[in-house]
Amino acid sequence: MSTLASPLKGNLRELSQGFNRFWFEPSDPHTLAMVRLCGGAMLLYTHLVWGLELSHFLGPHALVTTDTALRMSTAVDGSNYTWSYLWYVQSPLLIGILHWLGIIPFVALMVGFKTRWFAPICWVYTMSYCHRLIGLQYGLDQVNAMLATYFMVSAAPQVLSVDAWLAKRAGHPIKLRDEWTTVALRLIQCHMCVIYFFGGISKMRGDDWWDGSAFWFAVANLEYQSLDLTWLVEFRWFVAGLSMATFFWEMFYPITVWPMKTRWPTLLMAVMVHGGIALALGMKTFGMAMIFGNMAFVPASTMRAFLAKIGIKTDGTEEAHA
Amino acid sequence: MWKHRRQQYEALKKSVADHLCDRHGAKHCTLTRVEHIQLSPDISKALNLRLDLPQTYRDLPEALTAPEVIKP
Repeated sequence: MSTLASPLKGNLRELSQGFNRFWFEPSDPHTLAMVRLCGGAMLLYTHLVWGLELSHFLGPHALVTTDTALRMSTAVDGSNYTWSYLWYVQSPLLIGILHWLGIIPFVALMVGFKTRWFAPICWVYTMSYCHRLIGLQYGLDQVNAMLATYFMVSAAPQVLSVDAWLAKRAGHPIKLRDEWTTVALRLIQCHMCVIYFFGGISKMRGDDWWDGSAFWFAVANLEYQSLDLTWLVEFRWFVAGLSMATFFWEMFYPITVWPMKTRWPTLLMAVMVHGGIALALGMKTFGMAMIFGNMAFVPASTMRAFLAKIGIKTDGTEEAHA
Repeated sequence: MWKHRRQQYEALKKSVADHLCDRHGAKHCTLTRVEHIQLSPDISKALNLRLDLPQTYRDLPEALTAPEVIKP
């Protein structure tokens, strides 16, 4: 029995050490800070856009009224797990005041000011709008909600932030490497893998992806089309190849994105797929949000070097792991 | 389950109709669901890649028509 227990104990110890290294080894904040900057900007932009036609989305004469939204989010057994402060606010004046006050936390999150306080407030706003505006949302809002959630764990205020600038001015030391940065990044990374894995699984259920015609039906969708690529019908093999490449990339993303040898081709494919969606199918904000999510896989040292190249000097330490 | 989903759909439809009436000062609003059928690459090519052919748009009925019962 002891001949079995010893290697088993060793394996469990290694597993435990690997788990701790993966989730909790302190890392540099540059990548997460960049994701915060870009993701925060997208959250702010989304909130601003709702504000352009607020009375159409919220209030007593909204496209989807509060009662309708409540009904749509109620399951057949009567249960409703959604929550939103907007269930309780009907006055257009109060809706407007609360909406525009929301600009403050979104700007603060984006620029990295007191993010420990403002990140949860941004999350409350984001989830409240998600739950209230059922039927009026799409992929962008889901990615926004994901990023807003994980920014509460850490928004990397140590670099590229107002907080870092203020601390430097006051001569306060900044603890650069942080385990919470690692936790937040890992959560975003794992969530991206889940998104792509289930996206790939659902594509498996469609004949269009297996026979290579899916790409055609995407570019030939007049209601989404922002760039006419229907001339690709002359190049069937190319269209089929793109369909297959997209399907296999998405399906195997959770495997290929982790090793450094396959990470860069995987991320490059992500930029091409989401860039293509943005250009050809009109979903610019969704394409950008997904690219921001993929940014979580860029090593902090690479991000720091990129920032230095574009003239933004930041503090940094030696990278412990990718 | 289907009754629940139907009620949700009808509530949504009424909400959208009421919103449009309020926005345009109308007393009544009729909404029609339209399906745009996508053509295969071969057929699209034969039709000179026109994606907005009137024949590809179909109004969807609100009430399902029951199929004929085939009596033995």
